[in-house]
Amino acid sequence: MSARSLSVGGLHLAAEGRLLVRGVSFTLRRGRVLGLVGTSGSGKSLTTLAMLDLLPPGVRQISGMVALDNAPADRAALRGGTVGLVQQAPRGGFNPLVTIGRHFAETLACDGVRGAAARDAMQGLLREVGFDDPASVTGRYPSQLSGGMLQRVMLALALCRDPDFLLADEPTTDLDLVVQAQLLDLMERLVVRRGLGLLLVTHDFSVIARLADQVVVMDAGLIVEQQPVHRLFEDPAHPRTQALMAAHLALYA
Amino acid sequence: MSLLDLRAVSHGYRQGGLFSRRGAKPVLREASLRVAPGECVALLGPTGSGKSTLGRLALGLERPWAGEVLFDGAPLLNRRGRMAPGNRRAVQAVFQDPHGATSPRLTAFEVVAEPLHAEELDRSTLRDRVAALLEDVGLDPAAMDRLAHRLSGGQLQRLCIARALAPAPRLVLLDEAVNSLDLETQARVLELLRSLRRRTGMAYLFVTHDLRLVKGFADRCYVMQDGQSLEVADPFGPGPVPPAMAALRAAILPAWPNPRSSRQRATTAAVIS
Repeated sequence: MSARSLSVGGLHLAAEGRLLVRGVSFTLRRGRVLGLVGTSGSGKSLTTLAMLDLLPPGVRQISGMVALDNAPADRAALRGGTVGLVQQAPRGGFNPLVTIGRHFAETLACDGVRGAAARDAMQGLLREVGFDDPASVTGRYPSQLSGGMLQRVMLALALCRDPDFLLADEPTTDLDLVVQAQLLDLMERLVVRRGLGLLLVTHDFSVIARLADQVVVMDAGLIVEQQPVHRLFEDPAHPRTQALMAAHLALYA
Repeated sequence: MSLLDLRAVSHGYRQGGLFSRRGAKPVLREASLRVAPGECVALLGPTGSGKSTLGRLALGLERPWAGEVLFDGAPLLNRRGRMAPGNRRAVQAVFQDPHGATSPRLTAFEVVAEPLHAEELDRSTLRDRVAALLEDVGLDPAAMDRLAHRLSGGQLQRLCIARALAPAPRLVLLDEAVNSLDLETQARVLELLRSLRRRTGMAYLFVTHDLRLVKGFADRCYVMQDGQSLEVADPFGPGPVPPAMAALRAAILPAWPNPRSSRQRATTAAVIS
C-alpha cells in the first residue's frame, strides 16, 4: 500500500542556542514535485535531513513532526523503504572500497532480495536511470565513474526499495549543465512513471522552473513564500523571492 | 604580443594504478589558446573535455606532452620544469571549491598573507596589506583573525580571490570559480571580478560550463571540442557554432516554467490510476 502524502509540520531546529529553522511546514504529494528553494544557509538542507531524523551532531529538533498520510510517522522507519534520499556531491555517499554491485546488494538485502532476483532488480534499476549496459557498471568502483554517472547510480540506489517519496538535496549542483539537463529529464520520468513524490531542494531557479509544480521559498530558517510555480514566477510576493528572482533573470538578460 | 600563448599543446593522463598496462589517455590534442594582456577569455566545455587540464598547463602545474606554453613570449617552464619566481607571482588561480582550496587550520589573515611571505614584510605592514586586500574584495578586515572556514561559502571564495590578488598577478585563472555559489553571491562575485579587472588591468582565463555566465563578462570565448579549443566569435549569435557549443547552449534550462506542461496532466493521470 503506498502513501499519498508526506508532511512536515511546525519544524523548529536549533544549534548552539540559535534557531536555524523556524516553524517550517509543507506537504509533499505523490506524482508531484515540490521545490524547496533558498540561498545557502537558509535551512533547506537541515529541513530535508530532519525529515528522516538524520540531523548532524549538535543540531537539535525543538519541535515539529513528520506525518505520512496525516498520521504521525516514525522517521527512522521511513528511510529507504518509504522515502529515498539523494544528496549533493554523490562521491561522499559511496563506500570507495566496494563495487557498485555491492552497494545494490546491501540495499536490496534490507528487503530480503538476494541472488538472481537482486541481480535482476539491480539491472532493471540501472537501465531505468539510463545505463544501457548495466553489467559494465556493477563491477566498477565509485572512483571509476564520473560525477554524473555516480549521481545516476545514487538515484537508482535510492529507488531500490521502491519508495513513494524522494528527497533530492541539490542533486545537480555539482554537475555540468549538459549532465544536469539529462538528470532532470530522468527525474521527471520517474515522477510520471512511478508516481514518485519529489522534494527538489535547490538554490537554482532554473531547476525549479524546469521541474517544480509547487514552490516553497526559505530564507534565514523561515518559509517566506509558498506558491504554485507559475504564480511564483509571474508574481513573487515576498521581497526576498523578488531579489532571488532578479538574480536568476539577470543570468538570462 | 600575447600574455599567455598555448601553442598546439597535447596532454593526457595515465590510467589505472602504478602497474597498469593501459596506455595514457589523451585529453588535449594540439590545442591552442591566447590571452592578451588585460583580456578576459572564457573557456567553455562540459566535464571531462580538458578545460581544467588546459588551465593546469597555463598555471605551469603540468608540462604538456607536446607543444609550447609561452608567457610574455618566453617559455613558462624552463628545461628542468621550473617556473621563474616572477612568473609564479604573475599567474594565480581561483578554483571551484573554496573549502578545498584553504586549510581549515588557518585564519583568514594567514590565508591571504601566505603568498606575501616571500616579500618579508614586517608584521604591521603585512597586516595593513592584508586588510587592504580584504577591503578590495568586500570583506570586513575586522574578521581577519577568524578561522577561514568559519566564513560562508561566498565569503570564503572572496578570500580566495584576495589571496590570488596578493602577489599582484597579471593573469588569474578562474576555474569554475563562481559555480558552487548561490545565485545572488554568484552575481556579486562576478561584479567584483569585473571591477577588479577594470582597476588593475589584469587578464582572466575564465573556465566554466555555464554559458550564461560568459555574457557581458568575457571578451572572447573558446569551446573545448575533441581535445581542441575552438574560438567562437559570437557564442550567442544566430550564426553556426561548433557542435560542442550548440550542446552547451541547448543544456541551458529555460528561465521560466513551461506553460501548463503536458507532464502535469500525465502525473495526475498516473496518480489516479
